[in-house]
Amino acid sequence: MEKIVENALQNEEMTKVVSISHLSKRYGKSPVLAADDINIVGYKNEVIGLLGRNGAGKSTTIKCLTGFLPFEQGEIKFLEYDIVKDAINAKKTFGYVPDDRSVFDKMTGMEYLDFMANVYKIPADAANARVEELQKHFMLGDRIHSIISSYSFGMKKKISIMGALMHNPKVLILDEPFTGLDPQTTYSLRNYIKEHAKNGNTVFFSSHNIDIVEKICDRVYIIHKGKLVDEVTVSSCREKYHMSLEEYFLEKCAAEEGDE
Amino acid sequence: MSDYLLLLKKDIKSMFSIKGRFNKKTDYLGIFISVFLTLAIVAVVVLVYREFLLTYTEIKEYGKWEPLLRLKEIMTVTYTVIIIINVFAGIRKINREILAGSDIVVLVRLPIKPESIFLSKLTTLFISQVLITAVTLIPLTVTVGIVMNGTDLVDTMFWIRSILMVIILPMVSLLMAAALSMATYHIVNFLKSHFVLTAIIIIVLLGAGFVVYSEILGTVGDMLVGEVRDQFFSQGTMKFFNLMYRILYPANLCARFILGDKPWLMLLLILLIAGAALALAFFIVIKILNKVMKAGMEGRGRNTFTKRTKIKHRSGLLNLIKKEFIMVLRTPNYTFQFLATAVTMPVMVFCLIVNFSGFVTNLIGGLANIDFELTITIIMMLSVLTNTFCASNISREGSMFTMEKTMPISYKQIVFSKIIFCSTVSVASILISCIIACVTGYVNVLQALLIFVITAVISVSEIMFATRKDLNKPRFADNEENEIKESTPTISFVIMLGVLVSGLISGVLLILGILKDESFQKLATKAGINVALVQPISIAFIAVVVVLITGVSVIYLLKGLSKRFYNTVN
Repeated sequence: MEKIVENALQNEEMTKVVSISHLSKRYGKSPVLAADDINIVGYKNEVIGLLGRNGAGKSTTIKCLTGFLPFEQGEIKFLEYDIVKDAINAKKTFGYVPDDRSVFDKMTGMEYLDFMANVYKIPADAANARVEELQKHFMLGDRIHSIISSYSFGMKKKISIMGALMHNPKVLILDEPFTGLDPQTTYSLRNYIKEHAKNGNTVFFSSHNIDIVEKICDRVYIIHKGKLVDEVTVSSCREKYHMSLEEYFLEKCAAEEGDE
Repeated sequence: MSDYLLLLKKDIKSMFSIKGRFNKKTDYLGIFISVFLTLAIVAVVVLVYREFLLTYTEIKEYGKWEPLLRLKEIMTVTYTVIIIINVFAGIRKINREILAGSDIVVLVRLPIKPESIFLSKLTTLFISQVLITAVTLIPLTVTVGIVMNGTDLVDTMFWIRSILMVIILPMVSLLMAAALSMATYHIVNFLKSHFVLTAIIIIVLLGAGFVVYSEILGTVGDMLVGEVRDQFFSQGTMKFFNLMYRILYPANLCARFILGDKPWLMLLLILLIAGAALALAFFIVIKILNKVMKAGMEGRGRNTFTKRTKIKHRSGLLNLIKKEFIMVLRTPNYTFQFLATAVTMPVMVFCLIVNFSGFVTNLIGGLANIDFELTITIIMMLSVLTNTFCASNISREGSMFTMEKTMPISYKQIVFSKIIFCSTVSVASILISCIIACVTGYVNVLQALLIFVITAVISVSEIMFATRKDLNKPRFADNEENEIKESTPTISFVIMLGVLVSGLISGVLLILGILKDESFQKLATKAGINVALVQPISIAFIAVVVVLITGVSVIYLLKGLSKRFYNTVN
């Protein structure tokens, strides 16, 4: 925990884009907190990963972060906008890709992007140009005009990602974004995430695929049983601890289990 | 054979299993409504059938009394109707459970012979057809037995033959269903990608179906009223029934069999036809299934709908309303439940007014003109029932309900877009219905205006109430299509409440309407009612009820809406 405070102080000079402070969430009357005093900060130009075992609290954190779930304690801010008090402005700053390929599947791909463009109030010309740009990365081709219900799993994921990127969000939040994608699109998305962060944005994503997290993340938060147990930069893993992120993560989880 | 028996056991178990069907999510009210309606329909059909039997068997043609021939004619038509019902049910089941069933896709990966899968599925279908036939045929056969009791026709053999018919008829209908299912499958696949055409077909079929239904209803009404009865059983009607008896095979053979006319010969003929039919049905379905499954595995038969569009700017609310429209138009189930019903409502209103106006007037002895009260009752009832679709306004969003919460759209915009969409369709439908009632002279302009205002306000109130009720406890679909296919407790509750409220308003108005008529004034005075006060009381009653309903609905919708919206977990 000391390390988290230390890193936060080091990063204070940087522009804070997203911050989660003392977030606690309990489902119903459950005695266990699904998220227990979580503190996360995301800065400009950063790719942040959220790691944890199944049921660790990653999804709960993301659901609270995106305004889908209400929470008992804490504060979530995107730039200066509070997700509870100024929800609309806060939500304008981010794009969210869920892990369950949720899209309006009775729309065509283009109609879905049209819907998203109007949700984020993007002028028509800019939105059409944005579609062309995104097509270069995600390559839906002519199928963008077909009904989404006819899409494969991977294609649904692609249109979901394109929808979230329509307004070129300051913060991109992705929940298991690589599941179901073909190698070419995985490569393309990986590059896009890096490029998006380089362009002055922040990318925040959760994944079980530690290899990908290691390849594209600058910093990683590790969640275990609802608690934030560590924050580590990918480079420090290699340089300071001389181990891969996977080894570091497994060691950290084992240590937490041992402490209990 | 062992595979076949194993699969059959699995299918039968899931068909009759009670375990897991009744839980917290079970729509008990919906089950109650379905059972109640089924029993009510059976009761009405039996009553009308009994009346028809009594009258028809008494008729003398060219001075000759031939009750046995009359009975054969009636039974032929009865069996034909049941076969038709079974054929439609069979086509639906073959398409849903065999041709498009997800079960098959899983089973073909297992080391089981395809024939075993097909045979077990078809046997299950056959059993379900036997059950449908039992529900429809037994009450009618019992009615025949009761009406003809004491004659030579009704003996022990009659009842044994009746039970046999329950098994024989599905054999015939299953063949027809199997033969037609391939064509239906191709039509359904074609229509999958043609939403507007599908909507038009649904609207036309629904409208035509309702016209036929109201005609039958009118005929039944006429038949029950003594004076019109003689006109109904004219020479033409008799000739029609006789012709049906002569040409409708094998229903006429079944009629002869059950009525003991050369029963053994008839049974032999029927069994030959039914056996061949059943074997052919199995053969056809196996052939069809091989083709369909091959097409499915190759990705054919998928929805190929394509539309080239460019992004256009529109307001936030309009964007959401457009989304609602697309969702409803491109889901045939929703098109049928809401759009088609709303579009055909004016036709339904017209048919019902035409048929009921005369019938009700006759019923109360032709003394009072209650066209206004009847029109408001019909329009209110139909719009209230159409709007029950809105009780799934939130549930229909499925997993996208989560996504919408993460978008920069206010919860009010999301909820109100749904209410505005449903209200626009509903109010337009009510307006056209009122115009039709006015143009056809059943109500005057002022009355039409009054009906429009009352029903529109009640309709919008119902939509608000139903939407909030659904938000409180949404039932998101758990199928791949994200589609609500079954009734939910909220839908059943809104149906019950809608019928109760509109029934109460209509009931009171109908009574007051009868009392305001001169012919009933004496009766009213005798009962201590001041006739001069009836009209103002009617208007005051309507005003109070409408204001009350609107007030309650608005408060119910808005109270804690934000908290509920963000607390509803998908």
